[in-house]
Amino acid sequence: MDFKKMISSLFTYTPENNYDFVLLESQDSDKQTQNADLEKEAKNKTIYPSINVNLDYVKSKYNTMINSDVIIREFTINARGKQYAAFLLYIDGMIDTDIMNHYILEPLMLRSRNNLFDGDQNRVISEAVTNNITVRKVKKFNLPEYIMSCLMPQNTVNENTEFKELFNNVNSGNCALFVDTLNIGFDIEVKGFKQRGVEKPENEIVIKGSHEAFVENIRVNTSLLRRIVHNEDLVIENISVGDVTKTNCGLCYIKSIANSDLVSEIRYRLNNLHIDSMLSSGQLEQLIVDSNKLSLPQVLSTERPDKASRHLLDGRVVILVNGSPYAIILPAVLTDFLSSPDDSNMKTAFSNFIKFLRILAACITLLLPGLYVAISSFHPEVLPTDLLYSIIASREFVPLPVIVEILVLEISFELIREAGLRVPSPIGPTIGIVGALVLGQAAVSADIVSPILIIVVAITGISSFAVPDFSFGFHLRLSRFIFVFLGYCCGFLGIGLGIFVYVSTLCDIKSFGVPYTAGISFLEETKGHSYFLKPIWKRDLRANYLNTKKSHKQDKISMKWKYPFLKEEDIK
Amino acid sequence: MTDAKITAKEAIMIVLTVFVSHTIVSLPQNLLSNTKSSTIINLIYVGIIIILFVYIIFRLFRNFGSLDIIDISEYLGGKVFKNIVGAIFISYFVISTSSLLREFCEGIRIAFFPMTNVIFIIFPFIIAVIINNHLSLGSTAKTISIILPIVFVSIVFLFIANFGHFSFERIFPILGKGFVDTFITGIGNITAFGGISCLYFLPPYLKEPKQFKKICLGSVMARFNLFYTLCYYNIAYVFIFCRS
Repeated sequence: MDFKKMISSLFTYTPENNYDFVLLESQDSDKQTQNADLEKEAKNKTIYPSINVNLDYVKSKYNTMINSDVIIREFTINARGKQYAAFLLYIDGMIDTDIMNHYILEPLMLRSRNNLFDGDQNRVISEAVTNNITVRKVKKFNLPEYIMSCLMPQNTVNENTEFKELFNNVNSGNCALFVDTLNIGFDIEVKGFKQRGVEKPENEIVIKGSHEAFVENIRVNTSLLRRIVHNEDLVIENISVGDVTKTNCGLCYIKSIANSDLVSEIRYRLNNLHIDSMLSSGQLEQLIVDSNKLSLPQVLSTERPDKASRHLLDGRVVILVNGSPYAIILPAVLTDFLSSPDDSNMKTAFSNFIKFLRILAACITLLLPGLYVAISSFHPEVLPTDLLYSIIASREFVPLPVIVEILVLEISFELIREAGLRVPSPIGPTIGIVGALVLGQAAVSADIVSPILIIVVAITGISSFAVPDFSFGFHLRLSRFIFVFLGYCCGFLGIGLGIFVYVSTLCDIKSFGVPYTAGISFLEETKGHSYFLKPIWKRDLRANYLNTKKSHKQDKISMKWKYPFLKEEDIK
Repeated sequence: MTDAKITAKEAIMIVLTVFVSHTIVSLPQNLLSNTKSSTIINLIYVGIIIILFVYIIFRLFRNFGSLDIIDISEYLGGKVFKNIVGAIFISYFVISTSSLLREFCEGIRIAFFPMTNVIFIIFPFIIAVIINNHLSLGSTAKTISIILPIVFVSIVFLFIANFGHFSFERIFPILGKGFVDTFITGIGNITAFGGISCLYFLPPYLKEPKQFKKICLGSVMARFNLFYTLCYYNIAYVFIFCRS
């Protein structure tokens, strides 16, 4: 290799010629279009008599061109010998198809003997004949009444004249029937989505939050999201990944909130994966992230629909993968991996205390073994004298250097943890007893390791379990070995330099255009996102680094009941 | 390239980073050894000169937009002048940073690694510099903006912890060794502000070049305030050991 090139590559900065996505602010045109759409919607509230107009409006409102689970079933109603164009609007995964087929479509579409006579023939209510003149009182044919009374053997059917209420009920799992020439819509109860059948989350247990988890079926997962978000602006695009498996992925975002560039970028990355198969969200995660520095996770992975919904409402994007019970949330910053879904369910003081404990746990997981090695090798003067004597006494008969001692224990701990994942459940508790008591105690009794090191490794292990995100916790467990090595080589100097390089690498990473360390620097203006939570009535802004279309998620004074005499302009 | 752009606050932090490294190698004590208790007045005097000097730099740079000193020297004198100016700055940075690193590592060696050759202490720093050099300036600026406030807070804690050992009568006599030592020979203390030379290279990396004036004056004022505070407390500290 050329010497000159080697020196210049070592000491000069060369910008990487890599694909670099930058998350820009939402364009004004997006916001203007959004505002124009909202104004238009406010004017068009009532249902039209023309079915084509209703159909167009419903298609635009529900984005049926890109929404994969919103279904419009067009058909023809047979009523009293006449045929009327009609369509049903429903969301796949939220309805009971048997009810829909047998009690709605069948009676409406199929001809029956009772339905055959001429609709123009009026029903004679009464008849009187006087002076050879026959006077008949007739009842004109009323189609809505006929459909409600005779053609729909369904227990709950309501008539609505406004779209808003119909859409609300469709989002809850009902279906809406629109008929030509009628300026009303029928709201029909056909709910059939999965409820408590969905199991508890196994790896993200919370105290006060919901206990539902995603499953392998993507349609069930989308219904879980729809039930919580409950808004027609939630878009779930279907994207197929994998040339052979053609795995269905759902790209979920709230159209009126998420940054359009972010959605486009994610869609671009998903559509440009040339692979044969993609079987889990873990594989997808590795294929779409920007970089793999230090094996840091750059997207969140969750099995909880409430956590995914919360992030959707914050302006992020969620990807569901068919066959995987884990959803991917992106973009993600460092502080997201230390947050739990339960934080917003508790009072601010409690959640901030727990968050502080998690920071402590992450620092202990990463640094405690390295600090122990550094102090015992280079800096014993840091410890109080009595403690120092105790440590020296405990290590007096240990033949191994401290680095070998700590590596033996750390690797044993990792082996026990890994074995615990695969051990059959009847002997599961035995592993804990064997590993912790027998091995640890025996190792100390045999003077292979010192008791103080058992405490250090145990505290490190417990702290690693306190990190909410599995991937981030794994990264910390892996990185601590680097700090152990640095501490053994150079003491506090090595650990300090290691921290500097680690922080520099964190600052260099971006997750879909968002800096990984957003919200950490004291100098950065982070509106709407800080690691420690404000009281819930002050959380009125979304994270500014997401550049969402709507920056406010609640009014400045959200508890209007407390201030009933304030004017509107003061509340906003 | 977008990632290499830095904000005004990050730029000020980069300039202040040089201050922190000088502080750790006892620059305030070097100033005190020159001007004794008149350092306080001397710093005010030197600070005013530096502010005027920085203002002149800003006015000169204003006409060149986002060009740095090397580009300006090429514009003024062609490639020859550019190479001369570049060589001067390279040698200045190499000499100043290597002597700073050497001094710092000597201190670490004395405190923690008495039996180790200093080259083995310098080597990890060089590795860290090489790794950091492969990252963009934006990430370096973000790193500094995270770490530097922690350093400042730790300095404040040091002062608070040692508050009982301060004796404020030690700032007298206010003119120290006299007028000549304070205002004539004491002009040498202007080297304390040598770190502002990195201001010459900042303009191409700024997200908002219009904020260059704010960066120049802000970094000098922050540096002046920090030096002033440190020197003041160094004089007042009863355990201070001046070189002379």
